Amino acid sequence: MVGLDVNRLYALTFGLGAACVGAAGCMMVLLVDVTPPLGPAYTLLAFVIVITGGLGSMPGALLGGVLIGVTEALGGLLFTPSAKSMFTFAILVLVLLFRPQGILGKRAAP
Amino acid sequence: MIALLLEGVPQRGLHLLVGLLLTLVTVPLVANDYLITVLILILYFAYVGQAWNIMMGFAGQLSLGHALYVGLGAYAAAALYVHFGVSPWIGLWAAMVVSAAAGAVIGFLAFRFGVAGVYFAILTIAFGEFARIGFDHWSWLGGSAGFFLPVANYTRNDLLRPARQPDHVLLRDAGHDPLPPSSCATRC
Repeated sequence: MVGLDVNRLYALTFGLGAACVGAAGCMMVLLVDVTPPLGPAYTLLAFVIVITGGLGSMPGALLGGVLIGVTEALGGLLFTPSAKSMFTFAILVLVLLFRPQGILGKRAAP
Repeated sequence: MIALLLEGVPQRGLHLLVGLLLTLVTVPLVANDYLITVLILILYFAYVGQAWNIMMGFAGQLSLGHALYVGLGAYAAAALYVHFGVSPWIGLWAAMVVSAAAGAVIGFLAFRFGVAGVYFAILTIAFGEFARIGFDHWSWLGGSAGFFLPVANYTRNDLLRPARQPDHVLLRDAGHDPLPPSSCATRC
């Protein structure tokens, strides 16, 4: 790893992430109302999904998204819709306790 | 224990502490309601900050779920007062026990399973959010509307007063004057 401009790569990574989430927002706006204070709830949700699936794992993020999405939908259907996030956080607690690197993540070298 | 806490504290700091203590004791005797409210808020913020400082400042553990323990303590004392009539001065100790027990359980789980660093921070967020949504749906404790305490109507500009007016009108129309005219005159 010689000759790579780390700052440039960081900027590029950040830009790629922002582009992805921009595309996601473009599709999401068809389904949900978008307001300026929308941010923190979805930031936390994305955070939970990535931690559950595994940090730095592409299939993990997909698996986490499906898992959390289905959990929230079923939780809202079978219990109170406003309490659906409780199940999400319960899953997050269990994953953190028993598999902190996430379901598909690799254990980082200590 | 106390000697350990005071170790390395300069003489001037001790004098300031004693001065602070004397001020705190005398202020309620001379200050008005507003000033006391502000002072209580200042002490509350300092207390909450100190609680977090013990975790991050001394132990180096980033906890982002400290609101959970504040809320648990507040709910414990308030529920004891409203539902069981226990004085908040006793509820204070119950609140400490409840919050400490919750912290001990979460801390045990985190450190037993080796959850450290940023994962510990996420774990505390998860527990905090979990409890927040749980309390939002616990109607025995007021649910998402919040848990209201029946406080004494001491101050002049109390928000409770306008809400009570229609009540009186309703009762009066039904033929039951809830208050003798004299007490109404002192209240209005």
